[in-house]
Amino acid sequence: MNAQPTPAPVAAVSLDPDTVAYQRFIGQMRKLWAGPLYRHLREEAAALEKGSDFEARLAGLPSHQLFGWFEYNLQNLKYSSRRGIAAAVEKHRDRIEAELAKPLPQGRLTENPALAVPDYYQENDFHQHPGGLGGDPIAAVVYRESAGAAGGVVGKAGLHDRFARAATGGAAPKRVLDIGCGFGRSTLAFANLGPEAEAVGVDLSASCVRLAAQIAETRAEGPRTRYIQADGAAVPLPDGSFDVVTSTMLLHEMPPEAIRDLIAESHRLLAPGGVAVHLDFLPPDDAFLTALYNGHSDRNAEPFMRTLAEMDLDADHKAAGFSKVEISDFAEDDGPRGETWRLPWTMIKATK
Amino acid sequence: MTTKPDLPPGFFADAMTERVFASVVALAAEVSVLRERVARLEAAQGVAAPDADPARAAESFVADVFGHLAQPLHRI
Repeated sequence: MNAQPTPAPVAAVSLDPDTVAYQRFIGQMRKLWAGPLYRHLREEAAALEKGSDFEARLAGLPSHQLFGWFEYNLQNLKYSSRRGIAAAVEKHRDRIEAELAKPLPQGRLTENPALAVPDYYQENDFHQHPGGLGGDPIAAVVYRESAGAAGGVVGKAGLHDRFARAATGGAAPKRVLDIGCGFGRSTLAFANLGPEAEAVGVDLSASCVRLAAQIAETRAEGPRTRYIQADGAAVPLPDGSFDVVTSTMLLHEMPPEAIRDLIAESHRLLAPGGVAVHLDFLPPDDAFLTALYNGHSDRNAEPFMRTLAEMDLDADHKAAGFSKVEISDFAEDDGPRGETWRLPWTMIKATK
Repeated sequence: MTTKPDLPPGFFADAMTERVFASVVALAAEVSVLRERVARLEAAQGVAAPDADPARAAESFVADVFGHLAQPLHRI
């Protein structure tokens, strides 16, 4: 059988060999950080007494200071150093902007230049993405390249397909709304659940929905997706339009009041019996892991991870009219647990 | 609320440790880049080891240089 040639990725970015070597170094440093340094810190932390000031005493450990240095700086270097992803993508700006502006089939992409972007979205360089995802036309490509570089979590192979299957319990919903769709990996994963599945991705970032729509053009399931630049708290679509409303790694980027607005909007958009299902991060019942979760919030420009963890998501969903709420751990891969630091993946599922 | 600080945050208990460690990591990154340049030249000249693997080379380099951070000092 002759293999079909793989089409070139949309807005492809070729990294020069030195940048590839640099990113490989960062990736190996991240492995050291998430493995041996994490285990060393865990051993030292086990000797600390648990209590209300545990986080402060943990922060006093030299091994924790080292852990924090690695966490902040490796992410920063990956994105923003001389050989970082942002600089590498910048070299291709003109071509990328032209590719993202290519004509699309009617209805595939709806942009809204007049969209009122929430303050929280503009004020944070989430996960240290320089300048955030909102304003720069090539921001989505920087995000995509970063996701695939140096051990980024968004680029984990199969993550989105795995979540789509878990979120729907193996069923194939016909109408899916993917809020905060980014460059569309999650949207395509839901569209892939079955030949009748149709998925709409919405995102505040014009760059992201442009890239998502262009990528969809290269995929077999792409014609069953469309993309809208919109706020997930005010989606310009009719009541009861969807069987599933979903988000992936979105809630922890939003303050509590915005999350409650999104929960209410998802309830409006769901048909009776539909489910809202979100993949995000919540700390487990463990003082050490909770301290690292909160530390990640502080160190990685994720200020709303802390506030997400303080929310009563069960009560907030029920207040919006949902009848049943399930919050469960999510295994992002089949790897062993406990010996490397990982963000605590959690699935939040609510039924209308 | 904003998360855009004018200066990068400090993590170590004293500023000099912070600066020295940042310098060491920057130096190691450059060495790692140069090691790969050498490996590419060796490959172009046909003198590279047959099992040369950039990922494995970077992994062992990082382990050799920084691995002791997770071990008692006497095991360096």
